[in-house]
Amino acid sequence: MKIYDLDHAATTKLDTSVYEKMKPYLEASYGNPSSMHPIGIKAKKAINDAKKGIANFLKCDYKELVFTGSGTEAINLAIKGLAFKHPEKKEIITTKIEHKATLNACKFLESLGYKVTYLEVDEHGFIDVNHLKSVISKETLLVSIIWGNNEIGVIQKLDEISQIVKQTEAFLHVDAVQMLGHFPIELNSLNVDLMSFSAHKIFGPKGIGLLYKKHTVTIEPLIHGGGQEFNLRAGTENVSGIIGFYEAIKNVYENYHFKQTELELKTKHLKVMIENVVNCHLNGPEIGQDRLPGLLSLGFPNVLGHELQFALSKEDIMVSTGSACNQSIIELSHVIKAITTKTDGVIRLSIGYDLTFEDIKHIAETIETIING
Amino acid sequence: MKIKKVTLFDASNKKLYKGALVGLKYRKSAIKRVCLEAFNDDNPCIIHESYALSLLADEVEQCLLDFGLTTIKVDDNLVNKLTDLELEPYIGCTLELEVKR
Repeated sequence: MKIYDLDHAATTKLDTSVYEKMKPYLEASYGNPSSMHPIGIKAKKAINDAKKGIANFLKCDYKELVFTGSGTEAINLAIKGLAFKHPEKKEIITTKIEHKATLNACKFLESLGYKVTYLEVDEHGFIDVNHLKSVISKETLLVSIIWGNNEIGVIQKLDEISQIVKQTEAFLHVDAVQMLGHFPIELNSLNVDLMSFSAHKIFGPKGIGLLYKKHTVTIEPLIHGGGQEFNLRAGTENVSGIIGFYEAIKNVYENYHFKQTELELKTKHLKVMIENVVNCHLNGPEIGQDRLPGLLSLGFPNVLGHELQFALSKEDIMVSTGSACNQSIIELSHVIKAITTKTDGVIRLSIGYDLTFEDIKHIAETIETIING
Repeated sequence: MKIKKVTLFDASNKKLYKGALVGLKYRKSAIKRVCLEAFNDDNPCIIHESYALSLLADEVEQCLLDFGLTTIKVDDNLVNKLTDLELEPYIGCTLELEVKR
């Protein structure tokens, strides 16, 4: 039976080409990049080739890139690494709709005495820039913003935000985990100090993340040990993961980035087909330039998101909910609660490139059968 | 066939519950057992527990449909068949099934 994967914002299947590139480094080429013998040297060269290749796509210097164990670790390294390096400033600004990696890193810093301001967002999820202007000051260490939101797909107006931040001495960190797969990021044209990425969202392997850190920015490492990753992330490198990340980035820049119009068209079609058969509403901005292609967050009145998810999973349709567990209750996620007071059940459908129009018809019909009976 | 809703009536025909099967009372031990089977998790969060509940409700649905009836008396036989449900307090009650073909 066919499985319909509508959960690409959670993770993606490893591309075959990525797997093939990784395989030698899981088998014969298993050397430790720090070892001064042929298989170690081969591994060292491979990770430097990969890092320079990635830097070429991202339009930055390879010395500005630090591999981490995940996107979450990259975000933690950016936020906490900056905070520990610059203890003279104790104020951080972020938003109410960040990924938990950012929110909980900030929460941790709050426990150490930092003041964190959580910017309001409007009903579509856009940051209130006036709120940002009113709270940013010379005491602000960092502004951390999620560029493309993983739950509601809103793409923040980064130019506008960076202009405001750059009028001060604050650093700007951008969580670009969801953006990398959809848009060609060119760091030399962005006024950003730090940016976080993850491989498994772009058909790469799990267990490998990446932090861009501008030359002029200094951070404290969170993991101490050897001198790997320019002394910023100790531990033997995940060689196959790094190789896989490079191949995945190559694939997105040379292939997937050119498929966004098609992906958006399918997303529109899916939305219309579902709207035609059941009562629902879109969370986040309308499909278009302000929204991640391929991502729908839909609210269904009088439906529980997790029950709809379960019913869909029984029909081999994989989706996520807009829910979170809070001790003994299931509640709407912090992102949904930040944009609406509605309590409709929410599911997120994040589609892939292989979804067909026939699949879309089947998915809409299945949702209709589940909800309307 | 699917059970859309169940209604539980007591002996005097008073409605005690109307809703989805997942809303009935399942034993905590059953929820824990399913969480272990599905996730090997003996300390599940509420979302994983709700998934386990849905799985249990599916099993109960199949068992009830196997009776081939839309009205079922809650008796020792039913209690012994649906051991994951806390049905003992409802012996003598009646379950009415709203079945969709």
